[in-house]
Amino acid sequence: MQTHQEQVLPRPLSGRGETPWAGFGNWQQLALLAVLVALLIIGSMLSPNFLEARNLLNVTRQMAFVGIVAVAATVVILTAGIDLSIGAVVGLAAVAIGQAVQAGMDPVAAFAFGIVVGGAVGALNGLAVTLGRLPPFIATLGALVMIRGYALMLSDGRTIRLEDRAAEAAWLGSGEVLGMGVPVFVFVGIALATAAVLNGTKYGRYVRVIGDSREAARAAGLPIRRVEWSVYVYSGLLAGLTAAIFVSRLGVAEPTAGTGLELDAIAVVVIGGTSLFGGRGGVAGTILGVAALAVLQNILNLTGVSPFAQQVVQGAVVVIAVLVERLVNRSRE
Amino acid sequence: MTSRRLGSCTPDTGEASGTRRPCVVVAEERPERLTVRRTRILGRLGIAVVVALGMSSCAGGDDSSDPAGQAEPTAPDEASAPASGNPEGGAELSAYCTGECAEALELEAAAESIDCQVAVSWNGLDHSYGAATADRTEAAATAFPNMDVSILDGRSDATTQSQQVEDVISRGVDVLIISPADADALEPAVARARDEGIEVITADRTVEGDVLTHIGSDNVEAGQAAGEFIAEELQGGGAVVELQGSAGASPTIDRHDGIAQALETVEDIEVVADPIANYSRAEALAAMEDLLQRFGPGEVDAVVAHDDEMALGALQAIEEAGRSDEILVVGIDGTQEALERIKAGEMAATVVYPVTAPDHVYAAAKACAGEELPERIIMDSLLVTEENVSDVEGTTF
Repeated sequence: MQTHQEQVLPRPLSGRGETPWAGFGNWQQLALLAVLVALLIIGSMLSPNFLEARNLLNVTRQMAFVGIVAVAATVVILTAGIDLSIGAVVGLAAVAIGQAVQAGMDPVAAFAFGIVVGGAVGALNGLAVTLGRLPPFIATLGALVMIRGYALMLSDGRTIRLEDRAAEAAWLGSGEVLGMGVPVFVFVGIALATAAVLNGTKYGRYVRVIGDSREAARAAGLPIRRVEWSVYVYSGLLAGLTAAIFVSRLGVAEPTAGTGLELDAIAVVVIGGTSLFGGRGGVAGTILGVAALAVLQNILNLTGVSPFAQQVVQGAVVVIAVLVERLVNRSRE
Repeated sequence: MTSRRLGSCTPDTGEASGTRRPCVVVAEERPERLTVRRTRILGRLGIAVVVALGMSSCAGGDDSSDPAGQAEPTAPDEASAPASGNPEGGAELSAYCTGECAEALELEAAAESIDCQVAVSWNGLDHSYGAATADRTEAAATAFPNMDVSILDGRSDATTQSQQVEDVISRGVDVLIISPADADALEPAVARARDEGIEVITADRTVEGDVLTHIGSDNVEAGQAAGEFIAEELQGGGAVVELQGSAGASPTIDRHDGIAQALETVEDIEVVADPIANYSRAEALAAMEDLLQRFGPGEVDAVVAHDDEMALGALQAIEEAGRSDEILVVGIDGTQEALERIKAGEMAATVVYPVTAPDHVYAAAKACAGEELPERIIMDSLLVTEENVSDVEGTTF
């Protein structure tokens, strides 16, 4: 840890020459980009339907669900934290939205309500980590179980149907603009905005420094707790947004929505080259990771690989990605 | 009647749909009618633990209003209501317990004479099937004024559920109705319950080892019924997509086997893809989107899903691709939404997978009375199409 602390620390603190794109273009991300391009070529060779407009619409939309949450996970992981409760928060926010619509709230207002609910849970997680000084893994693991339980309690374990309001609410999840799904635009917008903040603002540098070396951050007098708290709030807000898209897409609110989503998100973040120990990585890698995994999954589905073999492949990809990262970093040192 | 639910209850906030169940914790002072056969001290301790658990899991719930006070007077009303299934009065058996099933559950003793404690340990209440089970178990218990029924949520976790069974043993109940999260993992806990003299009834899912009786429908049969419908519709042969539930789960394996057996009977039917969608609508939607890309128009004739949630996800993908006319969608379970879509002519069929409540409560009552029960009580799997959909509405979950 000490070695890259010395490498990384001076750069973010200097504050010079940072552009919103500073996170792009390192070795690992170029490799990932190459893999993605290779997958696209392989896909188009293996299946005539791969490059069809409808398929691209599907893949990018499927990507957006994990993607939005993965962007939040990237920011949390950059602070050397982790948020295991994201998937459960998606479930709770979905129930909140479903019940709000059932109670007669306008779907758009209900979506906003869901996002607020997510943010509120995130704020509590953040307090547990900062004021309560709980290790993030423990705090959010506890939150995962509690929140999923609460979502099930509120909904009685049942799927909540939006009934005749479903059509009115469908634009966010099922709508299309220029042949692309609305969730894709939401995802891209959030990813770009987050990358810009991480790479172009003082706050973004704080996030990385805190994750890289807490002592250095403390010595530099950074507002560690406030920054840490804020990343959990952001995580909750984006989980709420994902819930809104889920509910809109399906026309029902499932209390089990988002089960296991935190693991998908963390896997994608890791594939994208963000270190679980904090400090290193960024949203650009995560976007590439999300895209690579979604395209891979799509190719496996289009070519009819057995579902069991698919799981083996997906797991292997995560391990290989981390292995490559290790090897690259070791050879650099 | 007193009923208690642990681990999953709804604070009495009064909102939404009539499906909420108030959080009921009644137990501070157990009356004398507690017919304890086991050591009282252990029983008391167990109750204390159970009450504490109940309280903590129902924070914010209204635990003071004791519905027993209201339920007792209503019981006679229900008893005097016309009851066809059970001559002793009370609620009827479900519509899926007919013939041998109904005969096996006919209670000879009077409902009032059933004086015992029953624990229902369900593998998970977080699905509409579990929720409906809990509702109907509570409703059925009102037919037996002196029966005490508590429902425990195993949260789909074998360890949690084993612990709950241990608690039930130390509390000292007379009958344990269990739907195990895992057939092997719950075996030791069930064996201990049996050793303590508790009558064990498995419902819906089976457990390794001996039990008094098992009540439930057969997942292989449900799969067969779905497969047979498709086989009949696709007499000239065709391509079928099978959407599978969670890999390795026994309902998944059984439903898959049943579907395979039925489809084998028609020569030219081929299952062209069988992705796993984990009983999730969202996952089925994504999987079907990809499959509709892989197979062009005319290359898929039917989709059979291991449950209705997945069938509805597939239906959404098919409708969005504009291919509703060429693909039949068949599910299993008979959820309310599936029935509505069948009625609207959008979904082809589903197979009702019956909730074992209220019937398992009658099995428990017979066990309390010491009456004989067969080894297996099999409930009916009913194929529902546009023709008979009106008959089954309200009887499913």
